[in-house]
Amino acid sequence: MDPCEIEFIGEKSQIGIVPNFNFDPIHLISGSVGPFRAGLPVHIPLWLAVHLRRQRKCRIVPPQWMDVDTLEEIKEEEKRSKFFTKMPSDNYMVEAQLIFGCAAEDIPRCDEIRTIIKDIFDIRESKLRTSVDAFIKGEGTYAKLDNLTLLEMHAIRPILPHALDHISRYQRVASATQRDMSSLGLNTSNLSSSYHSQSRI
Amino acid sequence: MEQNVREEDLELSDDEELITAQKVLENLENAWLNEKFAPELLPQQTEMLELMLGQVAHMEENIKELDKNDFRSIAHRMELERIRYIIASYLRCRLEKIETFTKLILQEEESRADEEKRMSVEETKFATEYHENMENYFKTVALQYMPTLQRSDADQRIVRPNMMSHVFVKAKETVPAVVVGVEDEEVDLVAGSQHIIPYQLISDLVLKGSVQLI
Repeated sequence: MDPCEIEFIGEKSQIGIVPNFNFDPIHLISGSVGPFRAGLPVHIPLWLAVHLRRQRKCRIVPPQWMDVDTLEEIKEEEKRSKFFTKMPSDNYMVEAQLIFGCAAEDIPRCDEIRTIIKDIFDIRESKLRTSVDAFIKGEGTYAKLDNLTLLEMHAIRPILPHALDHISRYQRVASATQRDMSSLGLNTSNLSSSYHSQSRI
Repeated sequence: MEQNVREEDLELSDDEELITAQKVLENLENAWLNEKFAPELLPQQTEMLELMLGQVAHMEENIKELDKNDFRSIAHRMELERIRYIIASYLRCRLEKIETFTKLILQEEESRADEEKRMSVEETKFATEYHENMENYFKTVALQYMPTLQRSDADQRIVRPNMMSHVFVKAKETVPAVVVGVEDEEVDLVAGSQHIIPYQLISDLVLKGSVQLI
């Protein structure tokens, strides 16, 4: 999937804005938004918020997790934990990217937040690489990927499933050869290494 | 005016069940992602597509009456673009599969009962014609110049998807004791959990809708 499609999916998340205009509710197919009252916060989909912000018709209210202290805590937790911790939002990278792109001045301590989010992403990514490495070496065919966000999954999308497909193809061929050989009464002990293990990424 | 634009409850044709436009869109989005990641062709969501296309046409009719710079019109048009993208991407993805696995899909389709058909009427027409054209083309360009022995190996030319290819899934509901390995290891898929697993082992769960490909 293209990165822009991941962004497309991320744009569906809701975000708070403070509009500077008045408008009645709009009944979109994906649900109603509004009413918009100048100065009163309202929740709308991110794609609409980005549009309104570019038109200077609103101010974006940063999501609750977009705060230096909260993010520092998440970062520490991520460092401590062996597994992936639960992120405050399934699309945290996409949301951060889009909000910083159009409304950096609406976010207090924006630069610091940007750095921490990038740090968290880097920690998670290196964790992901290590576990993928271990997973492939362990010859597993199945793994649990709890708390991994869509973007992170797609960072390993082309390589991991592809590599696993190849490995399982070799294993199938190996066991087929093994069957053929044993039916011929040949010694196969040195070929019997196609075991499967379960591991957790 | 606003009354007309209001999201309505739609009626499903056969079982008289009420479903909101919002739910239809959600179903379509899920079908789109499933189709994108599944190696095989999944059943077409004809009903959902029809409902959504109707809704889109209805909405387009309504915003025509609005001023182009009206905020309502802008918001609606942006949303329609997004929906149209999903529908187009969904259908394009299916066509791609039909073009790659034409022969196999046509064969499988033939063995299915009417209510289990995976292609819409239009898709079936496309697949049949595409297949005929390809066969004719091969015949005129190469096959007729070949020894008779090699002409009859059409069955060997069938392209099959790798059903054991690995996919990412998210469980929508808890599914107990799913076989996850070649050696019959079992795992309970807890609602909301995510996994990487060979497609074939969970293909029935995808069809049932208990898991979502991501």
